[in-house]
Amino acid sequence: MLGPAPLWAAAVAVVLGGCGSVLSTLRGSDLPHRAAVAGVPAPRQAEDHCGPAALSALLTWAGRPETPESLVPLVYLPGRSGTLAVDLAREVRARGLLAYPVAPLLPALLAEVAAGNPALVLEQRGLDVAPFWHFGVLTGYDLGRGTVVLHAGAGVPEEVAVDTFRRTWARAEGWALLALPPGRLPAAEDPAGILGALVDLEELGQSAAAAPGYEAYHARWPADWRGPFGLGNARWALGDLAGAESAFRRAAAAAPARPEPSNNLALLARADGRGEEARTLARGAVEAALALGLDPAPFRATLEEVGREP
Amino acid sequence: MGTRRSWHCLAALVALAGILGLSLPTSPALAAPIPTRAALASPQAELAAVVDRAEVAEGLAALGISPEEARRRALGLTEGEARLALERLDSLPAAGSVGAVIGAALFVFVVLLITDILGFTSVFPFVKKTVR
Repeated sequence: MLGPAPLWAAAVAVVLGGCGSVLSTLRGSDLPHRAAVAGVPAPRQAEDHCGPAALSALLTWAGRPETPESLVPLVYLPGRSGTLAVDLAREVRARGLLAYPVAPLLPALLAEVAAGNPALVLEQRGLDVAPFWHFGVLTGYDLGRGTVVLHAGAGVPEEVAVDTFRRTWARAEGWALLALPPGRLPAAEDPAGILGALVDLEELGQSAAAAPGYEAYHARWPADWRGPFGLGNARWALGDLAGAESAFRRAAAAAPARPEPSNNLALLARADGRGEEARTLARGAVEAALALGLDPAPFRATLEEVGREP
Repeated sequence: MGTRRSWHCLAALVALAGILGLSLPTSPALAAPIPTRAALASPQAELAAVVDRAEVAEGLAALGISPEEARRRALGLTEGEARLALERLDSLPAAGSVGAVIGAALFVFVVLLITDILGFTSVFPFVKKTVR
């Protein structure tokens, strides 16, 4: 029974060793040679509770301190003796933090850490035949030493070889999640992904947290109309009609051909008793939708609505 | 007799419509603000049917949490996460402890010990990780 084990391990070593060291690639990139994020606790986890422990460490860094024990009833799944990643993402958003999934690439993950953003990571630390799933928080790395630093339930930071972490993380499909305070955006040049994360936050009743995020998005990508458009919707949901209107105007100025900002401006103008302006805006929105080949139905509904006598 | 039957028939139709949740046709679309998601490249809500959160909650409740907590968890997910929790609940990894090797077979223990030393796995905290 024991005989074949070293042979087997050697075979595994040959197969995996063929991938080569990721370290030389990382050293040759423009990543800083080392990075460490301060302010992330390293709690000791209770049995099966790596999810609550890792989440509490990240939430505490993000300014929403929680103990692992207080998170157990919110994320732990007794029937699976563990925690699902989707449950962690939900609790991040529920606290008004931006839940951003990092691209499953080691340079992208380390770039976030270098920018000061610790990441919740899922590892599969065992083998496919004997899987050991584990959550931790990546808080630093040192390319000179060839290590990453994980707060992974040991009670103290854990230093792991980059090559080992690359494998255990890749086995978990490279799952990593940021939890960023309102107005702070990921380092990634990923407008589509960041906007998607902001919309998720807005739709789950966190408009107050999404609004500063849309403002930061607009400051970073000023030519993109969707930043101020999202800001307008978030402010509208918060009851700030004047603020919503000014944001939608910025969106309309950034993309005059888009019908969406005009549609929302039309409804705001009508609510403010400016019927003639509302009709002009709504008519413009229908024309813009037709010109872009969009479904004109929602814009026609607005035109019909604002066309009625108040 | 005839009028009475047709009256019954009408009443039945009205009741049926009520049961089915039908109502008289109104304007085809209601005027509403365009949501931010509609501005994304692929608004997921339009691509697929909306995930039934009650069904998601049912699946979670079967894994040892109260129906109320299961409902809270299901409602707080995004559409994409809810779809994942509905379609792949059994295969989604649930991560727990890293040291739960006690019950594993000796063979697995030895293999993991060796792969740990080689740096391919990271199961045992007492194994000094290879740093290259």
